[in-house]
Amino acid sequence: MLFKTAKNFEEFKENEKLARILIFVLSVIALIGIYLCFRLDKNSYQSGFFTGIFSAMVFYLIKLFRLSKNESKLKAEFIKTYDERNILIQQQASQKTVSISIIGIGMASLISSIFNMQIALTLGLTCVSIALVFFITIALVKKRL
Amino acid sequence: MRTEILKYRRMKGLSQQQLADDVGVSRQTIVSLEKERYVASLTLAYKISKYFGYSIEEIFHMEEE
Repeated sequence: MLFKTAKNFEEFKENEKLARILIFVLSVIALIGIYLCFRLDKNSYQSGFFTGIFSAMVFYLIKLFRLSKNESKLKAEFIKTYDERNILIQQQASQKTVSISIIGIGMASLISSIFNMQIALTLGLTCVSIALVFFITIALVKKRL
Repeated sequence: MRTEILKYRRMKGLSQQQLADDVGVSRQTIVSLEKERYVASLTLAYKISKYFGYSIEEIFHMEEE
């Protein structure tokens, strides 16, 4: 479910069970994070980060739990997840998103260098990191195919 | 790529949703295939051909440039 590795519906059901366990573990970690932030009096960004993670995990957990109770909905989710046209749309959208992000962040870095060098360097580094991850991913996928 | 999916689906009296469910894709994929906006993968072409009981060449035609 998370990494689209299932070859059939039975494998998809197994993956869905694993995903529920993984998400439950992540939500517990996020909950511990929230508790520690309040306990250690950390800033609002850190507690907000963990609260966001926890909310997303709980939302996803409820969704998966509902799906697991309804076989036809689970089958529909399987088709939606593994539909080859949907996968192609996602691949093309991701590719375009990366290109647009790199160009956008690069431009922002260039403009911000006029006003604040620290922001410009941060944006520049972000831009390089995205490009690096993109090319490493391409190299890894090339090895697999 | 030209396809005869619409013709064979109507011959069988199936809805787009029924065909989509039987071959394991979304209804939108069937719509796109019928309108020839999307080219099916070899796996899907094989599934659809097998489902209708015809060869791939009878359902999918390569258009010469």
